[in-house]
Amino acid sequence: MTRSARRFDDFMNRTFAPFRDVSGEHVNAACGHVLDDLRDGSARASAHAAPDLVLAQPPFLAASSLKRTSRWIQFAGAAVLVLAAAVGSTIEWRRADSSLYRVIEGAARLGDTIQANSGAAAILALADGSRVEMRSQSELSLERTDDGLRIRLDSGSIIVNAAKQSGGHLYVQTKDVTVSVVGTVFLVSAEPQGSRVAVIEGEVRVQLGTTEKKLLPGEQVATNPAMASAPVIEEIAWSRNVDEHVARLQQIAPATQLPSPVGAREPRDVFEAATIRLAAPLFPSGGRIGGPEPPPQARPPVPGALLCIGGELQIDPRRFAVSPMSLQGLIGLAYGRTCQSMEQLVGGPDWVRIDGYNVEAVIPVGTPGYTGRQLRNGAAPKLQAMLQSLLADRFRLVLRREMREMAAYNLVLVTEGKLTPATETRERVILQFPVNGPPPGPSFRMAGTTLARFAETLPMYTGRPVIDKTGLNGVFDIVLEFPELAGCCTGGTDPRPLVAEQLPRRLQEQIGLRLEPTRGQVEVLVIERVERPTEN
Amino acid sequence: MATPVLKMPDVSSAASSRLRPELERLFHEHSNMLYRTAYGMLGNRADAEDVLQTLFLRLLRRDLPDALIRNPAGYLYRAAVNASITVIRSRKRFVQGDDDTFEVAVEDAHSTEPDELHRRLMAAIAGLNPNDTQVLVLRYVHNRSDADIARLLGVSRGTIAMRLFRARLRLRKFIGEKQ
Repeated sequence: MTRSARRFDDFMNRTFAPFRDVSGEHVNAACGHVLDDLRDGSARASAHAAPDLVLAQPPFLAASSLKRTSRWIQFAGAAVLVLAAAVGSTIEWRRADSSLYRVIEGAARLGDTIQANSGAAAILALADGSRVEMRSQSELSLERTDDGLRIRLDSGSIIVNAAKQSGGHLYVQTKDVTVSVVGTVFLVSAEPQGSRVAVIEGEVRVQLGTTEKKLLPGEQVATNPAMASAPVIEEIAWSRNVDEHVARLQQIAPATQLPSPVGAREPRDVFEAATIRLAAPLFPSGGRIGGPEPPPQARPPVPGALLCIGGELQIDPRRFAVSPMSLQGLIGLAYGRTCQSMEQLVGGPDWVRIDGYNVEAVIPVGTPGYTGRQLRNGAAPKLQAMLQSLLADRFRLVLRREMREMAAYNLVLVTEGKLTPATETRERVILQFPVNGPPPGPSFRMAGTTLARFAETLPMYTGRPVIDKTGLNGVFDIVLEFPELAGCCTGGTDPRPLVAEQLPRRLQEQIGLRLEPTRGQVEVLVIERVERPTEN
Repeated sequence: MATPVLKMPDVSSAASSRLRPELERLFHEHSNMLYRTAYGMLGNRADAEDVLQTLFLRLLRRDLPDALIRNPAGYLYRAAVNASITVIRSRKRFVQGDDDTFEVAVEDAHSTEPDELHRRLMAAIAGLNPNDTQVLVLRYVHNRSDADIARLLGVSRGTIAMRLFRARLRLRKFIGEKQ
């Protein structure tokens, strides 16, 4: 093999290594997930589809914005039917491959049985404006009552979006429960072993024999205690409008119970399930948050620098996992402080910083998809809120915010004309660049940014807060290059210490800015209370 | 009079909505390889699952093609590569941030997320002849030897060597080497 071929091989092997060395467990889980879906055959329709609308020839595996649901689109395109039935009127549906409605001969009359065949959910539109979404394989019939209408659910699940009833009632009845509503959104499932009712919005009254129970949003009841309990969000995951329902649930979720004065201001979002396991201590001698400590020769001259969180972080659409990470690192993730100085996150016993934990959690359906970088950068609000809840619940974590005077840097202008005005008005950040690839080596780039935003990023290198004192209000494209670091960081070496060491010089040479030591009032998080995590 | 039952007819055939036994067997035998292929090319689980599912959904709706019956591993592998290429080509220029998103500049050495380098490299590879891409992925994602690759794709070792050579030349600019 020639030298160039060897270099090519090295480069390719290095680049693909993280994707080649994926674990068997990961692969098996992913394949199992797909197989389950294929076997099930009841493709959930895309949450991105317009209401009431059959998917029309969606693009094959479109852009990444569809990634969470695109898996369903083709199948849905083949099998989804949307049924619109008006009581006493006709039943209509239309084909996925056609824009035309088709009308079944004969009308759906009171007493008729309506089935949603395999394939996907169907929607009934009732004459009063209520809408009933039927899960595939569900079966129901409609009956008139003295004061309204009754949906008799024989099997399967429905989600009822009940219109305001003018003087009457809408009932849903299964073999062992009756639900009465005025105007609300709720789920009813009729299963062989019993029935389940869950409320998404408004309230319903559930009649079980002689007992009546009122249910509020997020609450559910099952007629048989042996029925497995799952969060409401899971129960409605099959719905075509799951995002809408989840949004409703989140809007009306009860106020947070977080004991933390910090967390109490955040929304009470929670993971569906989570496990926390103790791993080996990260740094027996103490040290920075998260990942491996940089080699001594690579340490920057700035005290306390390089507190960015390392550790392995995985966010699949519904799986969150870190391993191993200290509690301090987890706090950093939860509160968007992954790259701040140690002095900004204080208090608590030593194990908070030393012990590593492996955390795995299930992200609820409907949560926006975030990347690991967004989470590390504090730009994943829902996920951060879930982490905050997890820490409050399992570690009994209580944090307090306070302002403290501490060492910081002022970012000042020393040479005019070196900053490049932005070519775009929209702020766009960029992008990590390869640190272990070919020349020109690591670079730090931000496009269309203000200097205040730029200053916010620098603590990941400086280890101290950086305050924009340039007095420049413009928008700039910032590029800092570190050509001498090309090839510095093969084999997993963290480049940040090296970048940090050179940062002051590069700032001045390349964009005419300087970091000046100062002292200032900086917000810190103080750990007021913390305990070892509770049992899984 | 019996209560009428109004059934919603499937637009697809009944057969198309179920995983037939022969497809399930194919899935068990090849899904691992196919998923790893897609994951290696796309760099994230959701897209890789999309590709895997799409491959089998396509097969659900048709009789198994002769080429698949003759060489299932090779056929499915090619299909996975081609589907992954489609995804890569459909991606917009890689800009992850939006107005509210903030991305820092230096790749975390410990992150397993698809990094910019991988994405850019795969975008370049997706621009090659698909035959060359298939060989590159087998070599660098699956770590297969020339002989293995030749056997799987049903071509000679010489052809594999030629495709690798050609791909290397075409990627030279990207790799930044002067060969």
